[in-house]
Amino acid sequence: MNPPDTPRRDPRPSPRPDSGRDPNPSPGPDSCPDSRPSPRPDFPPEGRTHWRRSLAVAVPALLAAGGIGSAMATGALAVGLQVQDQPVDFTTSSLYGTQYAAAVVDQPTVRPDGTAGSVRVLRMGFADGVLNGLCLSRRQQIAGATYTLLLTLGDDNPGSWEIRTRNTVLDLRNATGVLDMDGVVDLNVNGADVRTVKDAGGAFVPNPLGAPQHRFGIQARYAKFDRITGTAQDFQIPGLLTTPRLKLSVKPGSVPCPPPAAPTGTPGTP
Amino acid sequence: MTAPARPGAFREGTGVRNGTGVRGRRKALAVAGALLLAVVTALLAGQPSSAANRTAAAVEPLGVPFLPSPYPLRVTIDSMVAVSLTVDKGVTIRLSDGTTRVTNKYTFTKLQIRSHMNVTQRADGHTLTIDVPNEGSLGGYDSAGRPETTTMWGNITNVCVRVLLKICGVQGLLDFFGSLIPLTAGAEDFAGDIYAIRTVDDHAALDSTDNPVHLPGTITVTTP
Repeated sequence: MNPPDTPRRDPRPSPRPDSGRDPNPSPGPDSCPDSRPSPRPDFPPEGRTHWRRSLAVAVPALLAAGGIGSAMATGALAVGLQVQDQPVDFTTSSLYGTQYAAAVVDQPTVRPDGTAGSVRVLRMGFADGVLNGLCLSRRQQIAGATYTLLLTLGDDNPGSWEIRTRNTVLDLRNATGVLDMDGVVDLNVNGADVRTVKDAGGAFVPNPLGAPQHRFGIQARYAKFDRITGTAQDFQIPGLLTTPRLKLSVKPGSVPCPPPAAPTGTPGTP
Repeated sequence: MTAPARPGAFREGTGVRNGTGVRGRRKALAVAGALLLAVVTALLAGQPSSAANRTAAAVEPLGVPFLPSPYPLRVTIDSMVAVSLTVDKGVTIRLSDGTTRVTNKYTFTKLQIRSHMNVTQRADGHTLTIDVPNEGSLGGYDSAGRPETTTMWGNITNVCVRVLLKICGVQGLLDFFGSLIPLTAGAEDFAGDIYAIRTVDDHAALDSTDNPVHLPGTITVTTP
């Protein structure tokens, strides 16, 4: 409702004032020289393509799209992988990182009847890490048939840790492989006291794995897991999808990831 | 025409506030007091409370460099070998729940697993298992060639040594002697309830391959 002292405006669109516009405009490059003058020279006819305006919008958009693609290609823009709700099988030739920590935590789940539940998992965190290939396999029932979604990343070179990650978090139900830890290694640390991932300012996040008090925890300066085959309840790997040779496929039946090859050499400085 | 005096204004020619001015001054004082109270409250809110200080003081590590979970690890090793073992008896340690235990501190140098190590923690609501079926390590040589140390806080409930014959239940002797005990001949059927384990490599490096903890096996968390 308008205030009583506010004049009621005409709802129809009114012509804009022609401020600063040449009253006798010269034909533009995209206008026909012998075309008849418009009955209203101040307002171009409808249906005309405004190339300058279009370019003014399109060029920044194209530049932004190109920039995003370039950033993704170079890894400057992180595109993360997040797998939740259902367990996923995985294999990797090697996972190596610094400021490693693990703790037993409660991972929320949804039961088949729709009610909320939780499972206990070993949550692992790396502040800085590298992966030597990764394969994820998740089976899905579609119309009564089993299909497997396979996602593989990385090259086939067991000597290259080609996937770099930061602040990686994995929730493991089980994992089999070779677990090496170095530096000062503490076992059965209170899970809420471990230090691993960092915030934007570079400071360690308190209780970074969200562990309840008095749970089992591990803290190590370095950790390296070779030839890992396991089941994860949750993956959070920022920047993972910028890695080379990302392959995604859906295959009928239950298809496991191929056995991980043994890594060669050492990962060096991640 | 003389304009009416505004509230809080000086009466012209008197220099004295009227009644409304006094009320305004009181109001200003009340506002200033409230602001001061807010500032003091905000400053105090940033300080940890005395209760928090008591809690933090109650869970400072004691006897162990960190606060272990109150659920001990059941560690069994079928066969192991170490350069030496030192036992410190009657060590008081504090757990993450604030309780303390009087237990032993075992320091191994170059602790190697010859066959099958199992670490199990049964806590409220889950069981965590680390199983190494064959060889492994809880300490090796660092890059400078010095043996790394592995320290366990807890109680060894069984260990056997082989001196011509296999002699078991000698953990009491280990605790009794307490000093440097060579285990180069190896030990078998090790079992202990261990609250905390720390291994130290003083020369750790990013490209180091002689990691003190080398566990080829499986980690599992199961929920009953």
